[in-house]
Amino acid sequence: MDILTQTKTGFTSIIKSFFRKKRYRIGIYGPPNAGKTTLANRITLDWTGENIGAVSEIPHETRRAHRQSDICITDSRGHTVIIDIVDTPGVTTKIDYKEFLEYGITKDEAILRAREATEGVAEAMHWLREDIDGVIYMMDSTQDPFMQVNIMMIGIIESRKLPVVIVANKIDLPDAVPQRIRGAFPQHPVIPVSSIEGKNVEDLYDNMVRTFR
Amino acid sequence: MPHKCLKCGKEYDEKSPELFSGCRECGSRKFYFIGELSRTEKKVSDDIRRPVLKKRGNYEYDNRNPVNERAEIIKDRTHSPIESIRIIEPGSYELNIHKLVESDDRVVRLNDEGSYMLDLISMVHPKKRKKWF
Repeated sequence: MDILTQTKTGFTSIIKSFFRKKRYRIGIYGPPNAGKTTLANRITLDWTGENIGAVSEIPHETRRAHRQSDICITDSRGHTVIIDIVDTPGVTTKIDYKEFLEYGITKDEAILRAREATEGVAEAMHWLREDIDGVIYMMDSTQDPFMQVNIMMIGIIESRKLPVVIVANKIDLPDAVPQRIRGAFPQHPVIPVSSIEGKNVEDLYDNMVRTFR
Repeated sequence: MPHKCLKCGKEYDEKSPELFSGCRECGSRKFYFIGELSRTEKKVSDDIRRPVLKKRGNYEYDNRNPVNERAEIIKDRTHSPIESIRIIEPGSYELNIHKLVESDDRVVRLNDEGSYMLDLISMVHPKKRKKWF
């Protein structure tokens, strides 16, 4: 890089820093049971020492969007970004209370859970439209990435021109194939992590600072 | 789960490559999701119509026949993804994700009977996104 290019890059970054937003609102989206709340808890625990929400194996445990404000993330080069993390309910095209019955909850509880989950998805979609500055899109790397909801959501995020980091979660499981996700969405950064074990989260933080800053 | 081309109505399965490359018939890249129930309903509508056609011995469609009218209504419903949330029964819902993002309507609460509560104020004054660059 010659001296002229270096000067130009330095000057541009100084000018940009004047106009840069103070804080970004980052939504964690993805299908149910991809590990959104586990990742949100990992990020908030790492940087603020607090948890954001409860985790469960029953789908749609998160039925309302939860927000944790003023999380200052620093990457390995010392750059920082201040974000609000919004943990959203799992996005799906069909919610049926019968799916929840096998987890040992009563029919009334299952119907209520399905209704709240539907309201939660509607709310999360509305947030995506107006209140979100960037997206962390979670996928389960043991599952097929070509699920209808993934294709649809990535399309929506692209059409709204929101910066996105795709997280290939659950790489600690033996049947995880994060390369499938990378192959399916080569146009976006795909970071393989294990939210539950904290594996490779530093790489995710580096990418978050690079993408959302 | 099947998808239907928004332009020509051709159906594709979930993993069809046409969902990415575009419809084989018309080239459109816009598809909408059709649930299993919609498929069943369509099959039912075809079954209802078939005996009527056989009985008449021709393929003209009789709008005055109430059975045919019902079949047409069901067919129309499967072809138009108008609703953002479709209540199949209490506790079972089909969600139109595109519609939920793009619509000005904001669903705040669902009732047991299948009615919706909407946040009217947010629809009248949508918040503008700030553009910094």
